Amino acid sequence: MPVIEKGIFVIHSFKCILSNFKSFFSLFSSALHTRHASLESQQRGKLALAVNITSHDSPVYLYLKMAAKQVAESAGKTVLKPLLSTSHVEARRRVMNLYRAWWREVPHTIQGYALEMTSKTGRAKVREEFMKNAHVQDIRVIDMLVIKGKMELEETHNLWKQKTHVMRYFKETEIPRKTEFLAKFFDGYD
Amino acid sequence: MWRFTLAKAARVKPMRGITEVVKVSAQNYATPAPVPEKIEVFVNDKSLLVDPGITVLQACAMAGVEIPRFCYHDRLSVAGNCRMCLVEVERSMKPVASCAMPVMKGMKVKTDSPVTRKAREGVMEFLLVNHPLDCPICDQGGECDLQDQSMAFGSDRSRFVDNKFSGKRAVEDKNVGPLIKTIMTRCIHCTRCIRFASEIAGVDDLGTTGRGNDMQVGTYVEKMFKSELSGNVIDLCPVGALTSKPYAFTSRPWELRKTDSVDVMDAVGSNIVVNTRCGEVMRILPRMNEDINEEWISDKTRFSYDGLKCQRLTKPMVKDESRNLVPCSWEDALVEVAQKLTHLNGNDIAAVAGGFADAEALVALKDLLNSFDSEGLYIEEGFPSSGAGTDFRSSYIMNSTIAGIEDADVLLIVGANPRYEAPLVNARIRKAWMCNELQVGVVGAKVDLTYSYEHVGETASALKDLLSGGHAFSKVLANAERPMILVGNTVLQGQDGAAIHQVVADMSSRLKKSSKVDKEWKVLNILHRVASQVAALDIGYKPGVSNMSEKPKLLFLLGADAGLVKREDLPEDCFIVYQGHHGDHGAHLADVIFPGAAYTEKTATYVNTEGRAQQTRRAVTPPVYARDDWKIIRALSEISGNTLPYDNLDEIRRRLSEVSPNLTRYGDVEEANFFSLALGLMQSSQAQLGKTSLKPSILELQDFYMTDSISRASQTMAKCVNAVKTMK
Repeated sequence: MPVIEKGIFVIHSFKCILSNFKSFFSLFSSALHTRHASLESQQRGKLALAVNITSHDSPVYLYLKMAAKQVAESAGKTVLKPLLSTSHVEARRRVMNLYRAWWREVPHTIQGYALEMTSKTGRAKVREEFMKNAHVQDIRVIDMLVIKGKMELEETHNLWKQKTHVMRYFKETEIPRKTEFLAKFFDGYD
Repeated sequence: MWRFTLAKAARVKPMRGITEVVKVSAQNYATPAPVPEKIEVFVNDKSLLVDPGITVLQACAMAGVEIPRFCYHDRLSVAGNCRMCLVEVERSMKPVASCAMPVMKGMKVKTDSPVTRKAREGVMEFLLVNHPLDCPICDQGGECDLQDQSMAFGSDRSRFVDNKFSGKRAVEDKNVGPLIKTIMTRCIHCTRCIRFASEIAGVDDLGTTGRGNDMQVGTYVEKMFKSELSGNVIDLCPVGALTSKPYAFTSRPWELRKTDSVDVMDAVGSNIVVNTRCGEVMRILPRMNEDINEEWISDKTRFSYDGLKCQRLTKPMVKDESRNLVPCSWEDALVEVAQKLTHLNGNDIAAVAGGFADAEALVALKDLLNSFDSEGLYIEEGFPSSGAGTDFRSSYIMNSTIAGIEDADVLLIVGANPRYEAPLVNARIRKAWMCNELQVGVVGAKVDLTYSYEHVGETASALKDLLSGGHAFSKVLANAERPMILVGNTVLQGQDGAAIHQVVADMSSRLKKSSKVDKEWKVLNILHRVASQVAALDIGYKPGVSNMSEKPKLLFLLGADAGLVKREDLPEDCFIVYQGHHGDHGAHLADVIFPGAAYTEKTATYVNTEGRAQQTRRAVTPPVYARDDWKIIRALSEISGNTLPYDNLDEIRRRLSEVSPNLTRYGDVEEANFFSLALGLMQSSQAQLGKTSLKPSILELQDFYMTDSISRASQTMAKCVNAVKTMK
């Protein structure tokens, strides 16, 4: 059984229940704007998703309870303590779902925030952001990235962000200012 | 301008050497009187103890009440014709003009009573009856006293009934030269410009014709307002009747970014405010400094800023195979010079600094050359180097300071034309001559100064006569309590410069020894012509290109644009590096050009002729690839392998104080001494006085405008020269 302590759920293990993003999304939507999800204690070999649960009737609470029940039913089958996915295939499916959701979201984002770009550019950026993490192999890390990706998506979709926050994805790589005298001299700043 | 007048008017501190009463009534040229007791007056029922003789307006200012005014200006005589300063005084039939009314015992002034307010409103209405409603196209808009005061004190409703536009009073515009634009319909006849011209500038060109509604301010016949200080009437004009011609329609005061800075067009170091917009200098205005320029600046200071936008060196350049200068990157240019530097002996390297070089660049250049075992550091402008030379600071600065002129009772000018070489020193002399009965004698060419003087003699032999007591003026000098000798640096550079220096130093020390002269009083004063001179001598540069003993294979010109360095005087294989901001004489000689920053583009130290360190501030960025001067030299040092140990302004300023602590004591005059020691060493040299006339460098107004690389590039200055020649 999952340990319920002081409003923090430490999820030991549970199987994936949700196969599509929408239902997950709707479950998370109301609670996750608290943005308290964080990845911790990886070193200790114990992975925990700390979600600040504000009330016992919140969808997250209910969802996790349900998940825990299912985990209890299949107790003893899993050795690791996965976040959501139990296999690479499953994790991949989550990623692809998220990717698709973002793909569909891009035109709405452009319209909603009046961004001066085409969907093509936006989608290229989505792809770029996903590909940044292409090297990640750990299922639990993948899951966590997916959760964060969904939170971003939600914030973007609901126009909780400002234009500047969306445009931060497009910020050019910052070149650190040089400090040696000659370099500063050639570049022409004090 | 009006907004700042409260503090100014309240500042009734005693002027140096003359009593408080005289300063206030300086316009009346009264003789000094013993200071009587203070009297009590009431400003808005607030009791106040003031000196007798000050005006009601000044008393109010001391009480913190500002009286609106148009014609009153605390540096000009009282005219009392605008009537804006009317205030109610108890037991007085009518409101009185506070600027002209002296305070009386127990006087009760009411500055905010219904009578006062009504009077102001009435005056305002009369002024506006015939004032055009062209504020939207008027250059004074936003800094117009009439605008401000009509908002503050005018009526809130109009009685304007001329809806058929039969027309207001109109006056023909006058053409008074290329600097001042006149829109005479806007004139409210405050006569500030007239009083300035006759009292400060000493040119009785402006005046009024006609009476009443027909009164006009002008020059009677069409002529140019020929004065080196003419631009100041623009600041004085409370309305938009006199505005700046070059600045016309370019920007509004609220768009301008203002940077306090210092002028470098002469060695006076006038305090200025550089007004910029969008990285461009739009205009230059004076900043008040009682010790230097009061609140005036010369026309060259004010109007030569357009020269900063022409003929600029913007990119580093090196000569290619066909001996043409081609733009290149900083790396290429620096490496080119660094290679030469590292392969030469110290004796083969020399540097010449020009008139605009700042102390930071001078120190960096000296450190660089010293690190290559070279001591060949010169400044273009000469100075006698025999005897003690420039070892004693007292022999090359203006020891009794500019403000000290007001204390002096006799002034001997030797081979200088302060009117054009240092217009604000001249304004100070004129002030002392007017208010303090300063007696002036001149040795050297007869020049048109703005005060009467006794012409002692044309040549240096007149100095001998003065010294031996053979001349009538030597009695005047001998009887003086605070004598001053002002020597122009032009004559000190000549053949017999050393001898002249020796004679004047001798004369100074004799005058100083006189029992009448105070022990602290300093007699000897040198009037320099260029801004960099005193700092360069402080740092240890050798004066005069002609004194160069090296046969340089590498010559570094730091803004040396006076045309004194010539190719034919240098060895054929001499490699010339020019660092500066204008493509002038120096850049024509150069094999490599480093584009530097002009005085509006760098935070830099300059020491004026008094020995007062001041700093310019960066108002705009240097154009394109131009860089701060000391940084260029610092970069060159790194590339050539002898890295100088300073990376930023603070560090180089620390180095400046190491070299000479006075260089970073901004705003202070660092006094010098050891007069007799310097004289003793001078007398050991065998210099002979020549027989040529002691000619200052500038004799006529037309030669005043274009004297350096910035003013030579300035179109406005060129127009002035043309106008002086063609307009009667």
